[in-house]
Amino acid sequence: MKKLKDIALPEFEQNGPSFVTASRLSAEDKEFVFIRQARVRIIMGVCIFALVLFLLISRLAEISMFRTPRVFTPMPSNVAKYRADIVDRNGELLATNLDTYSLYADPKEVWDAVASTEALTAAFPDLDAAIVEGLLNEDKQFVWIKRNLTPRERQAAFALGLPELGFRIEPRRVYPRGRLAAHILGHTDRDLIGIAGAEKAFDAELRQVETQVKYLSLDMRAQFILEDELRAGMEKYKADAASGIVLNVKNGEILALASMPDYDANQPGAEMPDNLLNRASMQPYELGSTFKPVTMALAYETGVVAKGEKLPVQNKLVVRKKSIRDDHPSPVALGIWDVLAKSSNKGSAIIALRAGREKQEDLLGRLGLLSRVPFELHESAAPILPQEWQNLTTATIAYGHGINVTPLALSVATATLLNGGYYIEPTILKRPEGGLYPKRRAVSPEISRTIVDMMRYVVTDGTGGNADISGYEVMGKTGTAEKFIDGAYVTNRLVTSFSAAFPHRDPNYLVFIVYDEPKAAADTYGFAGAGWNAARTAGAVVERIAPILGVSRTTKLAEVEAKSASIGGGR
Amino acid sequence: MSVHPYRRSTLGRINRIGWAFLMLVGLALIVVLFFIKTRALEARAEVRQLQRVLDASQASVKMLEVEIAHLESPARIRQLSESYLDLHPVDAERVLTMDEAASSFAKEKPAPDNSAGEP
Repeated sequence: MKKLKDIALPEFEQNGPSFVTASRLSAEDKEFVFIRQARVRIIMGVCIFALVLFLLISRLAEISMFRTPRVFTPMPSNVAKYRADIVDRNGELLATNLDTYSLYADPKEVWDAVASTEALTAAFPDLDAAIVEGLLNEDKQFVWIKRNLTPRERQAAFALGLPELGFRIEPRRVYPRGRLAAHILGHTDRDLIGIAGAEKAFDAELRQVETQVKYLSLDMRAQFILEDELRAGMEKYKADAASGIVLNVKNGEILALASMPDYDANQPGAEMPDNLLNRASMQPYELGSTFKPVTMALAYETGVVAKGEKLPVQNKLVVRKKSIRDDHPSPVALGIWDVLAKSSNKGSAIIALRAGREKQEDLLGRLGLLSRVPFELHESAAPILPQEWQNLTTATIAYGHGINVTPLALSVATATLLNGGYYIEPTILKRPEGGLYPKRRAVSPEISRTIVDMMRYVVTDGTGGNADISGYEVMGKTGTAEKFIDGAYVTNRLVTSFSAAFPHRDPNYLVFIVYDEPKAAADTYGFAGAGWNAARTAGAVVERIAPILGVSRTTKLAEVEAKSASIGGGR
Repeated sequence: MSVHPYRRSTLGRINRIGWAFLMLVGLALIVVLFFIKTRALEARAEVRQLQRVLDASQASVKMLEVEIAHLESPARIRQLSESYLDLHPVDAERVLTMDEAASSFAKEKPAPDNSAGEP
């Protein structure tokens, strides 16, 4: 038996300290021992209880005050990536985001990969069975099966009832107008990163939540009309490609820009890669005689043609052993206005040769024809300039050969000649009325006014008659260029173009049309020149967009009545 | 005077009562906090639910906007107008300004009939 220690018993304290040994007391104090042991056990129990209570309270306190419970999120990517809408100048929706469901699988949960593959490929016939089976056998916990499902596809995936399948919400960029303005809008990749057009140009801005909506300068109606006419023209004239631009010459806003063949921005991968090329701003052409207004401005600026002087275009013109010829040979000498109206290459070459290379190069530079067009899109090609600028080069550039520029570049240069002489940087963004924008003087207002009158003369008395739309005072210039292939110009492979502007009294809009290798049609009498195709298309575009753009006609009422009577109330 | 050997002192009793009281107060505070936290969680869940409803509504609105944009597409309207109404783009000659139209009606105004009442 364990020996007890000696203890002092308080009951004897009154009689002075007196100690007895435990052994002497053990027999009669067994009860006391039991009590003492019980007391120890009680204290231990209380301690344990207190400890447990303390732990519980601590845990309760932690949970109550400090811990935020985890939220069960079956679709962790529910937080949609933000990308602002793109609208036209009138607020018409052109690009936006829609939430779609994407199907994924957890291969760790797959019981029978072959059976799951069969079920998936039966529900989604476009899936490749070998690829799906390979994905389901991967040593991962997440593989994409099919992204951006339609509601019907999502329901089909639900109906499979496979435990390894799951959905995630993913935003998808949607272009509700389909092909409309596809080359301007561009498109994004699957992760909503802009990779072409405005989507790429304004990518960072569109991803900022502060950007609610991005206004473009485009007018959806003008864009549709331009595309509609170009598509019809391409079909009618069997052209390989076409492009067109509608430009506000006073503030540089691009109201429409189209390139054919085009593509559906919702499915850019389904199109031929060639269709993605924006020919209006990325394809440099030798655009031919649509360059001649520049040469006319050079003539007036340098004063190399005397007032009333007739240029000897009826004579043979040879420069560095190369003979320059006219498509519409004149038997007599022509004044400068007729040089433009009859589109005389010889006359233009004579003017350029008289002015000289330096002055020609200087003017081209001021009109922005020696560098890429400075606008927002990355799709803007630099011109292809002559390696050696000889006399022959000066002569050929006068009528648009020997230098390759994009249709947009020549549009902006022509707009400069028509708007009072200011080079205005073009834009695809809506410019506020009365706002400031980059512009610089390129030619004098007097020269600009003269070119305006000369281009009107081309339509009323020259090669641009097919673009003359009654009441809208269309000005213009045709351009028919042979393509330079394998070191030689090919006579039956043409690039035709027409730059039209209206109205003559106060030029406001420019329409530029280009056809790549058009052919003669039934009503062109075997011709495939610009006057028979590009000019007609430009006229048709002007006729349809002018009322939309608020340009009033100048036709007198009597003229209208007479016309109505003569057509008997036709369409 | 005899003193019970296990009698606790008054100070000790107050101490124990104080501790017990403090523990009770602490426990009560924690329970209250727990309920407040629970209410806060419920409120948060409600906010989340409302947010989900809002998101769903916004998605529906976006979908409707896209549908409207699709339905208003010029190509579609052109096709429908040609199919059902036989409408085509108007010729420039048939476009009149309001002034021209007004002057046209003015011309058609009948002249006063001075023969009225004559036999």
